[in-house]
Amino acid sequence: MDSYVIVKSVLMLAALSAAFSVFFIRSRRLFRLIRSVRGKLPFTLDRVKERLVVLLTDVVGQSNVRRKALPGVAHTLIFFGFLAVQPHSLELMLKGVCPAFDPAKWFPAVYGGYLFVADVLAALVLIGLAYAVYRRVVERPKYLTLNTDANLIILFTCVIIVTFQFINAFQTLLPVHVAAFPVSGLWIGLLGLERLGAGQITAGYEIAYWLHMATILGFLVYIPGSKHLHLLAAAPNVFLKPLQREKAMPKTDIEDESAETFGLGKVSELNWKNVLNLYACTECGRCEEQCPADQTGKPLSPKKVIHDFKRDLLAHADAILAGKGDAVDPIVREGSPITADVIWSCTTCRACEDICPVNIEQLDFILETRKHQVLMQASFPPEMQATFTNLENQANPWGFSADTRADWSKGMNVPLMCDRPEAEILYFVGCAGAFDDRGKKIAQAMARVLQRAGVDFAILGPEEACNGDLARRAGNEYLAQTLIKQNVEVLNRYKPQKILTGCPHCFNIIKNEYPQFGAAYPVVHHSEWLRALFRQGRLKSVKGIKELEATGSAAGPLAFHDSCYLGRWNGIYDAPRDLLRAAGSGIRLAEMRRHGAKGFCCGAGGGRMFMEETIGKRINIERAEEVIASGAALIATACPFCATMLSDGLRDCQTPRSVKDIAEIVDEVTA
Amino acid sequence: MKIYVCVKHVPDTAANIKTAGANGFDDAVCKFIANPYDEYAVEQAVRLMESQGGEVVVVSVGKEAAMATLRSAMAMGATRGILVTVESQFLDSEITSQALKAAIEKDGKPDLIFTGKVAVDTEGFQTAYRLAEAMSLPVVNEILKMELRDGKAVVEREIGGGSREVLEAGLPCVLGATKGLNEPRYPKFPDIMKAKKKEVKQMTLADLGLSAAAARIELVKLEKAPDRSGAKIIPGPSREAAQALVHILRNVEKVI
Repeated sequence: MDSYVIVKSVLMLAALSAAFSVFFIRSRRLFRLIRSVRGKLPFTLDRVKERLVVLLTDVVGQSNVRRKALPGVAHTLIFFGFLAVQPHSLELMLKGVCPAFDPAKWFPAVYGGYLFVADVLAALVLIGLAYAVYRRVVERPKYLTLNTDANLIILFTCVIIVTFQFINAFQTLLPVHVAAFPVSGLWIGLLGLERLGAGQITAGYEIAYWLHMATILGFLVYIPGSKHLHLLAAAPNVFLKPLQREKAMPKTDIEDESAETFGLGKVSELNWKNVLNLYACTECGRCEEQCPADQTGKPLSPKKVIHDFKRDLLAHADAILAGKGDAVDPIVREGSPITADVIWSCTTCRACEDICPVNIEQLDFILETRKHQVLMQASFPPEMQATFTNLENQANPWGFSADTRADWSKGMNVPLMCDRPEAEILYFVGCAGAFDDRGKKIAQAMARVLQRAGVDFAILGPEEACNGDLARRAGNEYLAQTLIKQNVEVLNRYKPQKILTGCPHCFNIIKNEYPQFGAAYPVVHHSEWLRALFRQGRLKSVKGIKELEATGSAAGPLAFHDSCYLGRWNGIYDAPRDLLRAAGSGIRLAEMRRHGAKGFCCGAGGGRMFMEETIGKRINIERAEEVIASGAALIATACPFCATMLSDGLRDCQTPRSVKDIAEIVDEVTA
Repeated sequence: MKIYVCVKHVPDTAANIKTAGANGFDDAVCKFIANPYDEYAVEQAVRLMESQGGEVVVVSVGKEAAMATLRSAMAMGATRGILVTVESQFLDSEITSQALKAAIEKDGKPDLIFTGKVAVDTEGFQTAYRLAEAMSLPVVNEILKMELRDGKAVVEREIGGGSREVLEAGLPCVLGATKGLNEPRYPKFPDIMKAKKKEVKQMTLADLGLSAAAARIELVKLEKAPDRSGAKIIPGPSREAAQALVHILRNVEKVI
């Protein structure tokens, strides 16, 4: 027996050294890779207290992962149970090397208590794993990656837990009794282990012990090379997540003459946070499940984008670590899974980022790659060339004469800022409101409502240019900055007290991105502003909504379609709904299947409004079908592009349904 | 190969022109662009340079602001530029072509000269022909396809009725590009930045021994075309709508 103890000690020491060395070397390589990529990221570790709270709620509390109920509960069970057995495994490792190490003897009460709890938690892991297996065998959701990597991880975890239980079961039968095992103890009765002889029990214990160690050390070695790197990277990634929902696309310094490249052309140009994002992904597929592109048969899946970026990064790790980032292949290249169609299918709706339990920012990868494709390669969907040229020449995507920008308001007595610079509100109309036939009606409704409420407002007219969102999200940072600077100069001249927008794209970029260019003014979207006018009593509903009276039904005849740039980009979900209830005199709203944070994009964002949609099903048709299924007779929108996309989708579905902007509804009921 | 491309700085056709005085317009508030047909010419020249080597020189006759059009042509790949500055908003095609000829001959010996088929502002359709005549070169306008074969330019142009003719012209010659010849590239950002530093020789008409006073066409008056009156939509079933239309044409407009 003594000689076995020595052999065990030597073997254990060797195994531990080997496994931990390999783990250390592989992890160090990954860490160095984080530090070797060249992308710049202005980042200061701020609001540490808040971040610690996030760690408590999101990681320890598992709140994010449970937004999907059953898999979330399963994950929570596995997470805690797996963590709970780790101290015990560590103890066994040390004990294996040095039998004198015996916390059970030193702190019997603590030790016994810990093992009792760990034993229960470990058993719960098996329930979690059972559900995981059920999902992979029976449910098999499309968005879930089913591969050896995933199966191995489940197998590893399962073996670790079962061997833990057997170690405990045999431990109970050994002369040195250390703790009570409420669950593991059941194996004794179940398998009749108590009938075994002393030698057999010891042998059983040792077998369970070595199996446990082999699996856990194998797992340790396996982690850094698998998607289960998640285990190491998820918590830091969540800790370092952006603390606010609103986000700005990074401003590229295009005037930097020393810069050799712009945007993201090669994986060596990722920034450290991007890399941490890649490490944190465990391919749960929730992003893919939400993605309008993937759901309508486009080649883009945010999960795959992350997976493919990670593979590309690891494939070029040697070159990057050797400081030869220039020699790395371009991301979009012959044979790469990240094709132009993948990059250009994105509507930038941010459903992927919103749903991601570990706060991966998929859009950063897609939008920076677009930026590189446009600026450095002049490669983009051919139909965008005319749009870019129109924006360059006339500061609107359709190429209408820039000096007719105020023509929509002819005969309405809407003052221009140049005539009324002291106006309380600068109504930033946007290109859709100024030029698009559908949008013009919305702008006119807005103007009428504002006049009715006695709001002192003015517009910029020909001094207004496209806000730059379209060009920016379509990768044309140069053009976007030209437009933004044009507007910033005008805004800084008038220094408006408040900017009101009728379009979430104007709202988002002026609010969150113009400060990058030296224009920070209070910005309000018309959903919030009109709600405020109702609350102040400056607007009153004097009649009902036409479409709804026609149906004669009070039960959910009106539904609101969330615009991505209002909802997910800025967290405004309640204002338009409150407004509709106020306008409709307390009307009950129907909700479409996907709404709020999970609202489904209309298909127009990210410049997609101006691109052909030739692959798969049209996104607006998918949404129109959902509108029809909701039973709503009238769809309210808060974005002129959503209004156009939904109207077109419903028309193609040959189902008469009205689509109206909230301003149009307010105009109708207050007139 | 030394290729010259004549480009014109023109008001965007989408822009509203504000007339000023009897025969001028406010060009400070009007958006100008490179004449779209000239972009096909630049693209073709740059492609030839890319395959054959040599240089592409863009030449413009216009006001100082025409520099922007030269820069955009250079962002597309043209090597350098020549700007002949004039004061006048309207220079007739006779003087323009003489200025182009003088500027080109002063600069070097062309192997090929491109123009756009027509400038979208004055729509004179003259310059390519006058330039070729002045330089005693063959000219083919409205080319849709072109390649170099055995030291000659082989070009295709539409002659109506869906037919095309294939012509051969000895080099040097003047070729007028039209839509369909190619798809002008969207410049890469670094090329836009590089274009800002490319060489542009600047000279005046007088430097070339020419004078705008010698123009043979004078613009007497410039006025805004009346707005098109709004279209009228006749609702109702087609039979009644047709009757209503006939009524309008016969009794209101009195055209039938």
